[in-house]
Amino acid sequence: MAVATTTAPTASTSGLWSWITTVDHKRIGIMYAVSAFVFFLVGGTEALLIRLQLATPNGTLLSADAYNQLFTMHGLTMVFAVIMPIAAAYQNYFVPLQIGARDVAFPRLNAFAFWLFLFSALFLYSSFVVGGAPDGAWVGYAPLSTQLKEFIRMDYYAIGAQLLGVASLAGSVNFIATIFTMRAPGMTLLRMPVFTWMTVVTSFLLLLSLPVIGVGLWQILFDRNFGTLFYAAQAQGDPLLWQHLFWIFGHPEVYVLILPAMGIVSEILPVFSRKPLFGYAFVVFSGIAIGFLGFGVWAHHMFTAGLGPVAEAGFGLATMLIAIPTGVKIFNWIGTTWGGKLRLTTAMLFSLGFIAMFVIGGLSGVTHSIVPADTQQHDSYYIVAHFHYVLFGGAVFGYMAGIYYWFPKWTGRFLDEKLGKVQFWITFVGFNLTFAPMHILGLDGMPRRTYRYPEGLGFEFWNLLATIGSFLIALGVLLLLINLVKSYRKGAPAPADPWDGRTLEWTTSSPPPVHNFDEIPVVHHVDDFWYRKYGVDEEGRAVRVPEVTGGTVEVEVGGEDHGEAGHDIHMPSPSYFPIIAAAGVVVIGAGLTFSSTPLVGFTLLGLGVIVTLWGLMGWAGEPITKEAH
Amino acid sequence: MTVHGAAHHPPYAELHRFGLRLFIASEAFLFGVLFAARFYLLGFERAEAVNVTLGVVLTIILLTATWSSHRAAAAARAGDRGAMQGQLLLTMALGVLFLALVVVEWSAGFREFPISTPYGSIFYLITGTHSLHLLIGLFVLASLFLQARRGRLGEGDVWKVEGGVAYWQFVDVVWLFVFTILYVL
Repeated sequence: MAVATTTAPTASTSGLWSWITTVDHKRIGIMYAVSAFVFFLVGGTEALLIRLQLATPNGTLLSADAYNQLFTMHGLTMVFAVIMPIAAAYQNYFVPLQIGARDVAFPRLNAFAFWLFLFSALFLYSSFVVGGAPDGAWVGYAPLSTQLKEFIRMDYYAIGAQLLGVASLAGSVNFIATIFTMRAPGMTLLRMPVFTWMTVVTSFLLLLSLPVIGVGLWQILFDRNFGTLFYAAQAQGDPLLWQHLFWIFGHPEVYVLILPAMGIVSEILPVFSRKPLFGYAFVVFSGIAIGFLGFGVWAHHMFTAGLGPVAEAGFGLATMLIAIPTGVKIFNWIGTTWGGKLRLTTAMLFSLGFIAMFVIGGLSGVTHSIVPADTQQHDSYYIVAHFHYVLFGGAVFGYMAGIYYWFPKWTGRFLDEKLGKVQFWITFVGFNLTFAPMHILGLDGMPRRTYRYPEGLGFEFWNLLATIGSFLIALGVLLLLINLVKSYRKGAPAPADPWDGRTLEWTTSSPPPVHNFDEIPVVHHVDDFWYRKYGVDEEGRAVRVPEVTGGTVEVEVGGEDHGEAGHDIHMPSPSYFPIIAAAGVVVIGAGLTFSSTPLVGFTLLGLGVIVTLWGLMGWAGEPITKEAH
Repeated sequence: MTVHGAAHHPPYAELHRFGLRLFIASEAFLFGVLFAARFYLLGFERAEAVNVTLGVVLTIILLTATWSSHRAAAAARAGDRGAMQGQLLLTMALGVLFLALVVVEWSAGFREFPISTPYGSIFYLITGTHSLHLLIGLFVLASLFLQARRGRLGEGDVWKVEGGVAYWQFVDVVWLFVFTILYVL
């Protein structure tokens, strides 16, 4: 070992400073989760304002200008500040636990990624007080985005998205390195839990797609501020280049949002069906196939851009193709529950809801692969309906299932199941009431991104229904919030293995100790924990192995005091350099955002460079673990 | 049956080498997209005024710097601290020379093909992105050099030098593509 090591730091484990300097993947995961939830409330409020405006024809609640800012920020928030970080929260907390590791590969890089995400999102929101938020839609199509010169709103977009991308990139490097190099002995790739596998796929998607939009965002910034001509159609530039760059990122991004949710559902269904995942290898390889194909379908977002029949046919076929691995997964999930001994917990309800809603969203998605039909659907509410079925009925349902499933591990307490089931049904009904009518609205010709619609086009009833539905969703979210607060304080205590789980995170205490595992597990099977608990009798039925009845784990935990001779557990020391470096990078970004006012821009840029260098130099010079006897 | 944490944690160098490779893969996509944008927008069109001679000089400088950085890493592996510092210094000097010549090139180029021309847009974005990466590489090498001078780089830190050099050489290799698509084609 080249690394200087020491025992796990026991000082400074509470208080604000301990959170600021933490490099513990579990704490970072919790901070991701809390931040994402707060942004979920903010982005949800934006959606409610949008729905209130559209509840009646000729709505007067919002001006066109306010509406543009709200729908742009709703999209940016939900994608970059809610779904990606909530996925990162689960990945941070559970990937090391699922592969039997004590830590992630780059703990300080991990902390840097979190702080950069948080500061970038806050920076993006600071635009509201500085002169207006981005108002050119989350897709930021050129030349609108390069010519909207209302203050520096779209500069905020170009830099805000860029910074959030850098944060995700740092996180992705960390996850891939962790999963490929730090698995417990015996944890071969094809014994990894599906959630961990989906983390591999999404991390690679981000690693290779974020640079693409990175270039595009630079070009927007330069076109706006430095007189370049990348997207200027009048001078050899090409606005279509932006559409290509955006969607080469944007389509893999869709899978970045959904694959971790698919991973979570693939964990929950077997546990509550008391059956192994049907066709584990098929589910894993389908996820990988989706990852590869995801890079080859981007132009189906551009069927009205005039790419020509050959390109359109090709991308249409590729889009149909991607339905195959997705369909394989759905049949595998159904196969998992088939003949199982189902326990309809809230986590299970959300997982089943995920499958049903995702099937609807997936099928409406396949309709986009038919080029002539897509030309009609393009930029209509049909599209809005489709991607909310995938991202809310799909992804968000999956992440909500994850909350109910993993909350006991986070806190050592159960969420209230009764309240949870009420929340599920309210959310489920509200969700369908909100987004199902949008299919009809879209096919009836209601365009997206318009702040009002006239009377007499037949849009009134369905819009009102959607608005009522959106408030039902809000009620559901409120119930979840109440449940979280209430259960965190005085929920029923949860043991290490509350659900009779199958994966390694359930072998350690709830919540886990700083070092995760007192003894690094040795893995022999997929669902290794299950095989430790159950054997098979002569008739092929699962029977509990007698000697490990109940919390075998607690016995091990109690029997060992880490730090004893021969049992040293080495954990990285806390560090405040990641947060400094992250702050510096965001100040650099702020400087670039203010490019149009050079004095402010250069001041912030210089300041940001100094702070970043301070953080990085300190980071580089600091030993990874300090001697702290 | 059980294995203790320290034993299964992969070696520091191996872990970081893997992480750096992932980062470089991502960076390669970044430059790949920039190059693709060049051909997407302009095909093989090139401004006549591009100073090809200067481009050749820049290429020779960076190839020399690749060699000296390689020698620095070799010296670090051999434990020859003096040679390592010398080669790092040489590499940094070449890097600074490169950036100074880029400044010369830009100030001439701004007159011939300003940033508000199609070729200028592409040229300054690509060379600017490359120079920014080179500048970051210079900071990394400078940090290594200072740590070495203060005796902070021990035998276990060979990887740090190797990693810094690997990144530097990646940026050098990128230049060969930049040179090819902006000066030659």
